[in-house]
Amino acid sequence: MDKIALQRLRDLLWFLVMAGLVAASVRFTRGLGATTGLNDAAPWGLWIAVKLGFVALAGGGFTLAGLVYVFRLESLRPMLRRAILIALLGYASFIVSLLFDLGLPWHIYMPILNWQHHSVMFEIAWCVMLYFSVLGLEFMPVILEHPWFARPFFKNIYHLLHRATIPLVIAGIVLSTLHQSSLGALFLIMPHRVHPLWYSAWIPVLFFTSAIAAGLFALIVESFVAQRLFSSRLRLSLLGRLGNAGAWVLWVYLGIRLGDLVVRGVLPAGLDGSWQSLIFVGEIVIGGMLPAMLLLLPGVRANRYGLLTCAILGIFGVLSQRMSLSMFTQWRPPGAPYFPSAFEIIIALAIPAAAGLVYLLFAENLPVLSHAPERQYSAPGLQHAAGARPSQYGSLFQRNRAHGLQRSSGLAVVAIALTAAFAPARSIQGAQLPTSPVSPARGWESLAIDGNRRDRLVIFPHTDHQQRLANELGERACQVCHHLDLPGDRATACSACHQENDSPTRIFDHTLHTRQLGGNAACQQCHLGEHRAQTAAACAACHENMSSMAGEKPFQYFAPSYQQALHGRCLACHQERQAAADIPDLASCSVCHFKPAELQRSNAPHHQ
Amino acid sequence: MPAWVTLAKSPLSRFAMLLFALGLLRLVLLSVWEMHAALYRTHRREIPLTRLLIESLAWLFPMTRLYRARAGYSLASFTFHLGILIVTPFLGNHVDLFRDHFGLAWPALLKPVLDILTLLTLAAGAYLLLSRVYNRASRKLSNTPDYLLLALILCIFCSGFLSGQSWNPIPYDGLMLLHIISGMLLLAIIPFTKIAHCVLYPLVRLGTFVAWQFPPQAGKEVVQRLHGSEGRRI
Amino acid sequence: MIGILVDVTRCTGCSSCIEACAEANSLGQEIGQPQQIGDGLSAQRLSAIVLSPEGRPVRKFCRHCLEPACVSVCPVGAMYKTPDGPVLYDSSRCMGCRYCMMACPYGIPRYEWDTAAPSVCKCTLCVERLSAGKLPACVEACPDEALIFGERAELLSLAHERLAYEPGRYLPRVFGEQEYGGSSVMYISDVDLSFLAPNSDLRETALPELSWSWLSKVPALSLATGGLMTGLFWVIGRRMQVKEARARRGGMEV
Repeated sequence: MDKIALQRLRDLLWFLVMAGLVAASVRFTRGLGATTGLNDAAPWGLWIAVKLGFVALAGGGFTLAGLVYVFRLESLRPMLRRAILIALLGYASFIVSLLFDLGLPWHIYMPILNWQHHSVMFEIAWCVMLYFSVLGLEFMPVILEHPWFARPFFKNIYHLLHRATIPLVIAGIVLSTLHQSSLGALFLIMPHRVHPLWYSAWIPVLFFTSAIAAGLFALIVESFVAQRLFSSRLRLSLLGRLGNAGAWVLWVYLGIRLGDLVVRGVLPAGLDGSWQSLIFVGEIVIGGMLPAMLLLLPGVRANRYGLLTCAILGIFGVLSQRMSLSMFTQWRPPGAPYFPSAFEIIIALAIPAAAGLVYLLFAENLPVLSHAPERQYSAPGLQHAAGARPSQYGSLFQRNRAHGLQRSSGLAVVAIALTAAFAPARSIQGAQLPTSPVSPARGWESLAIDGNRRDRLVIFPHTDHQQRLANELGERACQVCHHLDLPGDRATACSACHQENDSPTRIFDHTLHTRQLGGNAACQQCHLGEHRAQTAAACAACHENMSSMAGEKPFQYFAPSYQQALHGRCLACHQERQAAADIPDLASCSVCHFKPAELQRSNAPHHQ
Repeated sequence: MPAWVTLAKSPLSRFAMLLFALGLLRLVLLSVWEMHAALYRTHRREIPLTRLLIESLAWLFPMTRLYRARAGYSLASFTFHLGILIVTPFLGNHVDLFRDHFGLAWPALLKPVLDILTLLTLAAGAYLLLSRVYNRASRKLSNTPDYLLLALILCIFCSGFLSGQSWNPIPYDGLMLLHIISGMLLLAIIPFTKIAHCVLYPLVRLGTFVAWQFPPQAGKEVVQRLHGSEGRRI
Repeated sequence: MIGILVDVTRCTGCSSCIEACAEANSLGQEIGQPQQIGDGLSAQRLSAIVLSPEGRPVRKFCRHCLEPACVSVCPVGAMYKTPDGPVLYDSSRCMGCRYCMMACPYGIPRYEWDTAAPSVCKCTLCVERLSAGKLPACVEACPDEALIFGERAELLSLAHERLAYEPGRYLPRVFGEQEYGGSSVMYISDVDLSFLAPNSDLRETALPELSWSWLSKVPALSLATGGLMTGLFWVIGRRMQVKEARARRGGMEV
């Protein structure tokens, strides 16, 4: 038993779970918008993608149960319990991540009440519900073997479950077959979203076969992990047989997938060197053909590293297919990209981490890894219960409890503080107006003004305006526009004060004043009483000549939004001078707001 | 925006504060849990709260007990703690920060009073540091963190004090940056260093109390409870 | 079966319909959400004027399809099509899976991303106003008669009449007559409107048929799998029994 590796792994998983706790609390109090990168063009994201992955990895449960009970391959029995445990955890992760992803998770029971036979998701909901129960019943004997459940009542349940094994297994296979494939069928209705290289009328079959392969490979990887952590026996020949089976299933999957693409003639067009086609080639070649080919070689299967590498590659291939199909390569309208937010990623990691902790707990405390042979099926746990407690049980709760508590609570504090502190501002403060900062003008005679948002510069005839105003107003001409120019500054950019397109900017620079007056010692020059914004002296108390500030307190001093400033400053003049031929007819709204949609959103660019 | 304002508004400062609050909470909960476990093992369920309170308060003023032995040290230590506990929360600028960010407000003390108190704290801190270095017994008992923590606290007080003075010779922004950095650092490490006694102190008293109040056969019972009736080695 | 016919050639993009819609549905001020795509539709705006690639304003709102993808995918019946035509949404059933948003080829349903209890938001064809005997707010507000409300069959014949009367003015196609099985909201236009359903082939079969092609096989598949597994279990068990018995008999003979 590698205690150090186990401790490190447990710490890592615990850390992720605690970080996920913060993300979860924000998710359920502030909603999806604050915590995810989802948007109206990408209503499904990372959580859906990983959900499909969890179920694929759980595919070993029904496969092994079928092989052992239906095909009576007794030699595979030592893998059965862990296969069912992995499936149970995979489905639990699926359900938990579903609760995160649903907008109204407390309505999750609705498919039970409202039957919609035309909806794939309705079918999946029922299958997952039923299969999760089946898995629970299949795994329950393992739990009941624990000495805690030594009472006759539990013993009766145990024997009842044992008798119901075969019906449960067959029900499990039927339910799995249906909904592993239906998960793929979810995407049948959206050919407009799914990339042609992943879309296929055969998606259900592809999902079903790839789930079997991924489930078998997941079992292989789990065996290596269990061997490292708990020194459980590594049955290499057995794993080799699983790998072999997985390889054949993978070939079936690859054959159907490529065959369908060829028949529909999408393949040549799809391999156009785009990044999607690179992902496709990577997942087919590295995550499909390579492990499927290598695993057919007995030498590779007999080599533990060869076997492990191939299994990991195969899992990568299947997960890549699910995630590409449902997330990466989906079509989205231009200008609406989706990238998972930090919180989304944390939760997508925290859920399998929690499942990992449960796995460790079960593997340490229940007879999962060391399974008794069929003949003594009912014996070991119950016998132990009557006599002395076997040393392997209960170690988690007894040994070094104080130490474990210290360690895990310390990790929890750091994880929670880290996640909460670095949470994106949007998730803390809630959604706000999207800011559209105004960028400064460039040039001199004719200013190039980015009327913001579009990165499109338009020409503002500055000299022309200067002259025109000078004719009328003489010396004070500049002040009409540059009303707050700093000393020595001939033309402060509009954007210096009107920093935001849609909302006013508070332009009183407290820091500047503090610094110029000599730091904290100078507070009382302005704040005559309490140290609060409201008690500050009016601007005019010092700046006698700045007429626009007369009587205003610093905290009240806002520059209007860029848009208001433009409407207020420019429109009046332009309306007056309509007659002059060379001026664009600004008085008519449509000159700037030439797009109706933009009028709605009041983000017309400053257009000459 | 000067660097120190950016820093103070950054996630790093939030991280330090969260680490401070959650870390101390964890220490309190852990200690209570441990104490509860200890009491449970000795079959003692009730805690003599009144005596505990009196004892704790009495130890808060160490002069009564340590006066004869180390008068200077006791006095300096008392002043140092008093200064920290009064100046930090009742400084006007800090009160403002609290009110603006957390919505909690309490009256601030007058600046001259705080200035004097700060100077006293600095002097007491310097005395403590020097006595650690020059007193033979103290030096033997001290390790590096002891010096560093004391120096860090002095650094915070120095920078904070100077930045509020009109004769301050050092650039204001730099001083504030130092103040913020060292303050955040201190907050973040408090739960993991001996300064955690700021919340653990009452619990330490409680622990001592419990330990002295064990019934005569307590040790044996604990052993039995931990290792079964045969009572193997601890 | 009621519907709306949009005559794109008459639309000037004045946005009266959008304002009327916002007022009738008390949508309130539009708050800028970072989750908006930029086509003007959002949880606060159930219809929008978008520009065709040629620059012509076209109104974008729910098509109230005859065989709506959103209704067919909803696992709880929160999206439903009334016999009269409007496709409606019931938040008391919705569990927020957003499958409807994924399935709609026109990208119409929008989500309230900002709340912890979000709903899907889409045009209701003003069913409440209709039951009060009034026109949909947008139709009532349109100053240019670009929106025409009526029975779908009548609208369709009106559309074909206009196409036949002024063939030079329109493209010879009623957008929404056949696409994805047809819709209650239809367009006639002088510009190609396929940009309203981006990245799709606008096939004439309804999208739900794609899922149905799989779902219709599910009962048979489940029976087949169950039967096959039970059969295999029995056959393999029987063969093993026979084998064992033969081995035992052989052993006895020896």
